[in-house]
Amino acid sequence: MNALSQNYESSGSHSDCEVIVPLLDCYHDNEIEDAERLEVDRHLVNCAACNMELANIASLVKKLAALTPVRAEIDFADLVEKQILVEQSVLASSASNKQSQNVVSISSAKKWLAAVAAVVVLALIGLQMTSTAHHSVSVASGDLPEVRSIETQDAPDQASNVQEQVKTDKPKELNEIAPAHSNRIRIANVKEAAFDGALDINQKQNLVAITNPVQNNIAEELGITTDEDGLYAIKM
Amino acid sequence: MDLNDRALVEKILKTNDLITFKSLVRRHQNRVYNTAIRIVGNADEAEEVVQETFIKVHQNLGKFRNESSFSSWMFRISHNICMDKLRSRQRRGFQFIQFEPQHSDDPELSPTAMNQLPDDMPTPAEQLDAVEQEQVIADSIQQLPDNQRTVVVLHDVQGLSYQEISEITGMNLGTVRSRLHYGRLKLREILNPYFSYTTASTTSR
Repeated sequence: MNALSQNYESSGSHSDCEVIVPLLDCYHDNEIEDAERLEVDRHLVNCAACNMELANIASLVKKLAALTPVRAEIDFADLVEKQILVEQSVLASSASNKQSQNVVSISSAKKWLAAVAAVVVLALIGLQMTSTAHHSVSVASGDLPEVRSIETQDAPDQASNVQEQVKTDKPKELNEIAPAHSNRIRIANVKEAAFDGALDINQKQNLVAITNPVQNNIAEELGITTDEDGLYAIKM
Repeated sequence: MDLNDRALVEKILKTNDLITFKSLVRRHQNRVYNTAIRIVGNADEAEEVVQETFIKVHQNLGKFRNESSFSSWMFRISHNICMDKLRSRQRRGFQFIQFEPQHSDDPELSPTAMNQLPDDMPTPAEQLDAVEQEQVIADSIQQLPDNQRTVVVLHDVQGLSYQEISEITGMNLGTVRSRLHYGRLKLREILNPYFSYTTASTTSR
């Protein structure tokens, strides 16, 4: 049994004290409900132990309140200002980095657009030349066995969808390119077949391959080449 | 004219003026520092708390609503940073000296502490000068558990109301009451060798 319990017993109101003691702090601080305050007031009239307890609380609180405030030796306003300025500059630089990244991606897209546009223009030129020259033209048939599509996200407006059609069962075919009627380009392996010169563009406008059966060796070269008759081929 | 906190905040939000913000910092920095050093217990971390508090205040000033006072809102930020520091310290393996009542079946009271007053000898408090007494009290605050120390500091050192403490710490009013009660009880036990808290055992009704 502890000292305060003995005190409660000596005051003859132990059970009341157990209820009252936890209320004494908020009673002292004037943070108590009215009903509780009345109860404590009534108890304190006859309980020396709780009066002493209240005096001890008051003594401690007085000592704590009298503690000298600890003052910092530095001015935080200047420090905080510097840190805010640093953070703002970091934020600004990261924002500009993001912008520059966007510029890079745009220029990358432009490169793609330029490349695709160049191919389209060259293919159109080749097509135009074939209409004037009397050479054999092969028209791709619609029974190509495998078709693979490649979506180019960087150039959504022009030539955004390049379809690559690969014909695997014809090992001696030429890879050639032909203009399409829309913003699409089809690159096809076209049969190495001699045509009698008839250009059936109206029927198969979306895929026209141009070849010269006499000079198959142009297919061995890389890039776009022109043979002596002005025909074009691309090695894929 | 000296603007109140609310007017200063409105001015800062309108103008984004750092000079006005600095005047707000200067107005509150000592209170925040004094509270922080009593809670975290050392100057270095207290300085970090003050700086981090005002940087967060600046970052979140637009979110401040006039539902509570600016100082309560600011102390809530400061309190959260203090708690982060204490948790981080515990994760790093720092050991706090926790007060434990000696030889007591009752967790609230220690008979040893209550009865160990010498009769004729000068008490340790009498041998201490004012500066040493302050140091003893400050050290004893550090021996309280974190949650009790926070409430004791905010109420008894900073003079905040129970309601303000509740808003700052997120505790309900009953918890604030309870922690303040047990915090003070433990402080008295710790300080009893230095400051003789009289008991009613020598007093008759």
